[in-house]
Amino acid sequence: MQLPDIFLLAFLLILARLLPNQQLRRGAMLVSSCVFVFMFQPVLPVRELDFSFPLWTILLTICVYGAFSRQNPLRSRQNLIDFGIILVSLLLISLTRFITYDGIFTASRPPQLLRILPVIAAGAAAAFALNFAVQKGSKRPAQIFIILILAVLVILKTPHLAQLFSQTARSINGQSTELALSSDIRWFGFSYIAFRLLSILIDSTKGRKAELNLGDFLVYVCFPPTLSAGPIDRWDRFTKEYITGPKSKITEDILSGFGQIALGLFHKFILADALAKMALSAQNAQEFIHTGWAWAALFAYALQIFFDFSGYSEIAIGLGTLFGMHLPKNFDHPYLKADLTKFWSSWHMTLTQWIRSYVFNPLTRTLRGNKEHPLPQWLIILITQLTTMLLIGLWHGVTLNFVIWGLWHGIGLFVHQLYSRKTGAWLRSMNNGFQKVYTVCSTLLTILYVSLGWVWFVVPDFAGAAAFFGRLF
Amino acid sequence: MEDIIDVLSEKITKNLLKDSKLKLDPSEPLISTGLLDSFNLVDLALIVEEEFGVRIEDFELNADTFDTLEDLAQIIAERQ
Repeated sequence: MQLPDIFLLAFLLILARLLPNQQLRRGAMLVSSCVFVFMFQPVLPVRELDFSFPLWTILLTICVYGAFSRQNPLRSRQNLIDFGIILVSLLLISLTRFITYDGIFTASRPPQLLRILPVIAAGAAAAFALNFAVQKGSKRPAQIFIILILAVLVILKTPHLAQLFSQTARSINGQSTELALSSDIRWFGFSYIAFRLLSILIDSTKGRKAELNLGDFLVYVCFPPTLSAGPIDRWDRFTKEYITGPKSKITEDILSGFGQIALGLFHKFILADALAKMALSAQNAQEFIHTGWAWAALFAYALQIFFDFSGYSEIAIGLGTLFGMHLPKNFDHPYLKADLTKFWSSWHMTLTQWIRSYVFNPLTRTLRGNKEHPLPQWLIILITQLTTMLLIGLWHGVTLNFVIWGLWHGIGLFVHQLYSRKTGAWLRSMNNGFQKVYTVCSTLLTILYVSLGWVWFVVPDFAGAAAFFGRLF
Repeated sequence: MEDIIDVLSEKITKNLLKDSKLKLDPSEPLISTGLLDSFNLVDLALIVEEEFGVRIEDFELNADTFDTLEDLAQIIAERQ
């Protein structure tokens, strides 16, 4: 999101909030969600792909709805209205090709309508077919889409596969395959959209019923303020508040929302952007000769990524507040936490909570619940922490350095959790003064460990990261 | 409710935190303060299932669902 997008969204969200009832607000938000999926998509060098990705986002969401919903779409009047609104929005966006050669709501000129309509019809037919199977009690559609979404995530996050995808798309379009790059395949917001879709699919395979309308579900997945960088809200929490409508006063929400947006803008566009001038980056990692400057650049990066990401989250939360939605907190002073476990409970909180709900907790429960062949506690902690952090690393990209970054934190969490089990009672028995000094020292140690871990995160190749470590020590 | 809180308090201090000298206040935050870590929380869910026959789902193991002994006892009482 750039500054004009933020101000446009703020204006539209206030307008939508001013509508006389929640039914109208839901309609307006459904149209906005469809439009902003297209507006946020950056221009891509592969022809028509910057139109296809947003279109696929919407069709995928409709298909996932078909794959979990127990409601018969043909018997629900609201679902038919929602589908009509989505269809009209897509057609109007497509028809803008006749207004200008550049896209109005799209990154480039939309393709011809005759090319778009069969894709929409195929998506809608697939959603109906999937829902027909779900009505008969089948969990297969949900399972298929879990695998499909994970496969797409792997392709998008693996540079080699993304490049292969680009080559294939270019060859279909008759474009030069030699120019194919992994960066051609930037599906806007997919990392976040995928996790929202996966959560409801996994819940449905476990038998949790989600009685949602199609439109409300699409707004949950594509809520414009959270499209670019989260937070990843839970579907049940989001839709409950969204369907009920705002309970707080509009004046209070506007004041509070703009306060959060102002703070987020300051963090992201002033502090983070200023720190970026001296922070470690993929481009400057090899330029540091002096150890002191290398450390300064590393700590500047640790602060930059925090202010950049938490600033984004504050802007998203502030925009949500303008519309009367209270989105979950994503950061809670992570660098002031006394240990790595607390750091990860306060850094990108909605992602870690998602991973805990769908990976860490079920895995730990299964391993702990095995009474016949119990594994030692330390081994369960090692397996679960490494798996969880490895997945968080891979979510950022399927590369060696992200794997090392994930393992770095997995090992750190493992060591800390074993250590805290041995020393927790001892520490609580100490006097207040000692505990304060201990907390300050452990906080500094946590900052150091997390900052050193960022080297793997920011430098893309192993040799470059290892060389930078050589300059630090 | 008080019986549930007593059982939970004893299990948390003895089985999870291995600190029998520790006394937990029913309104003391356990998760948001970091007293219970993510691993302890899963063990707590297994204890609740074994002792009270109540399942706390994986997505509920966070401070938004319950943070104190009182909150957890309330959930158990409602689901029993």
